[in-house]
Amino acid sequence: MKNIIESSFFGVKKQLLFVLFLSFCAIEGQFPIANAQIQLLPLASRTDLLRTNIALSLNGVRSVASQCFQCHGTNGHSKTGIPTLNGLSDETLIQLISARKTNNDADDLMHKQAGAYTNAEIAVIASYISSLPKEASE
Amino acid sequence: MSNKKQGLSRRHFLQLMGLGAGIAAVPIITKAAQSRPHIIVVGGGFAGATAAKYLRHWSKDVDVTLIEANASYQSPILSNLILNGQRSLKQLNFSYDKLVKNYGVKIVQGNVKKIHSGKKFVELEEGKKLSYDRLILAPGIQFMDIKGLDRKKVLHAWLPNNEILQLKKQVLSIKKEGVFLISIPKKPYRCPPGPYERACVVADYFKRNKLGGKVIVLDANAKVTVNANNFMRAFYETYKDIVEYIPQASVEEVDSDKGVVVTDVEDYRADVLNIIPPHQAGALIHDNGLANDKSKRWAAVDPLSYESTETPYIHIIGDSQGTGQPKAGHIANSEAKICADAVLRLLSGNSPYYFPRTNSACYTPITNKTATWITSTYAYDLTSNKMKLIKGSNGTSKKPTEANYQRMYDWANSLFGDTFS
Ligand SMILES: Cc1cc2nc3c(=O)[nH]c(=O)nc-3n(C[C@H](O)[C@H](O)[C@H](O)COP(=O)(O)OP(=O)(O)OC[C@H]3O[C@@H](n4cnc5c(N)ncnc54)[C@H](O)[C@@H]3O)c2cc1C
Repeated sequence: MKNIIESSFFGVKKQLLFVLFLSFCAIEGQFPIANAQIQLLPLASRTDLLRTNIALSLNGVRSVASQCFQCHGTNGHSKTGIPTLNGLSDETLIQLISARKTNNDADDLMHKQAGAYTNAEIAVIASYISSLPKEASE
Repeated sequence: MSNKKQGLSRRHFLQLMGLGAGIAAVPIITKAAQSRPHIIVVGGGFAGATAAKYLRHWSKDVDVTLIEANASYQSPILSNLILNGQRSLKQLNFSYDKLVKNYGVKIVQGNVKKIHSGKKFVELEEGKKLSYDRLILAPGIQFMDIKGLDRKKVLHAWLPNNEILQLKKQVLSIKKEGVFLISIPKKPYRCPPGPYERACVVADYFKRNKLGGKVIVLDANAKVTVNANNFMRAFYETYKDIVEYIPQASVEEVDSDKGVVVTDVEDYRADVLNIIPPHQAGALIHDNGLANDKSKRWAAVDPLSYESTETPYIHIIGDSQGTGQPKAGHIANSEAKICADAVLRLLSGNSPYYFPRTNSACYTPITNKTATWITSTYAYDLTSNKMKLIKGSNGTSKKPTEANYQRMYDWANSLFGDTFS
């Protein structure tokens, strides 16, 4: 099973533009945005969009990423001493989660949790959480 | 023209793609010309409240009604700490107001009696009928009988209600050299570490108040079922003069007036008995023919969607379901999200996500200042069609610490927030 995740994840990365094109085709009826118009976006937005599509293509991401919210708060907005994830970039999230995965501290519950996910899964979870709205949900 | 296009912010794009609201790749529900899909959730515990909330959090295209017997929820999580005076029930009481206000969940207070799965409606005790497109059941557990057990006198305090306050009164009435006895049923039961945790906090109360006395732990299991290192150290070191741990002792009969417990090994007498009887899925599950797993105690479900293997359009989550995952509040919340996601997908004509993850995490107090933790993560296994423990993902803290005691409150408050607000 893990292989499917890994391979589709990396497969998608190579085919980003194709996926992007497909998803725009899919919504074209509702939102008349031509593929070419992406070119008009500032570079930053374009990369964001590409990242979003990694998450989009692995569409289980919502149910998987929300498994973080029991402790880190709905949409990653923590209201306790546990760190907030919402508002962090995907790079930062990947860094933070991977660090907990490798750092073998016997008293770290998060070390066990992080260790349960593949690097590819961590990347999509990070991509999803960084795509969520920044304002508090309440 | 191009100005406008260039002005499209990232936010706009995400919204256009249905991501602004965190709806990644799940198509908008289309039920053209028909009424909006209606999902009924029965039971507002950790499982049901989370399901109701996340259905609406992820989609405003469905209507969600949560039917709950009580006006508010008293969390069993942290409730043991009421016994040694570290928490009040008020701190563990949650209303459903925020689910209404923040997510537009409709709340109906009432008791569901009968499910009409053919015509897809539920019937409440007072006769009210409500129809559904999908039904999610989260009624928790009910107890099985033990000979001679009078549950008005001998308490379990194992359900989300205020019985823990009565148990506390009983504990406070114990005099010097008095005896408290707790019994643990065979696995599977609600909250694997819970009974050991309760033994620890009662022993903590005995120790700090210099009561002498004994806490007898009768375990129907062969050994401590979870976090054994920490609990055994607590029983044999921290509370060595107080706790008497007796494994493989199954309660066969209780004299509720005399405070005597008959086991297959020996008889025990105590001033306060706290008998936790074996349990099974909530009455709603049994009364409607949904307790169809091998043991006939729990509801067999598809772990991808939590849909009953018995009756279509009915999903069962939390302690009532029989996937073999631990019966606990943290993972009940976890299952509820998998189920909510699957229900939204099914309503939009898609199939449930094929690789769900669930996790369990729990901080357990050992004294009034220290706690330990346990955790495990589960993944769907295609060959067995089961949720399987991910190798190496389960573990416990090395020892109880004060830092973990503080983290316990953060963990619980986060879980309460993610479930009820
Ligand atoms: C002392 C103790 C400590 C615990 N500590 C932890 C812990 O630290 N971590 C952890 O993860 N778990 C813990 N648990 C376990 C946790 O409380 C349960 O696993 C969890 O409550 C299960 O959630 P549920 O939603 O399935 O059921 P419940 O919480 O029991 O909720 C079921 C709800 O359904 C309602 N209901 C039932 N039938 C009907 C009906 N027919 N119509 C309408 N409403 C109905 C009930 O009123 C109730 O509100 C603990 C439990 C105990 C007893």
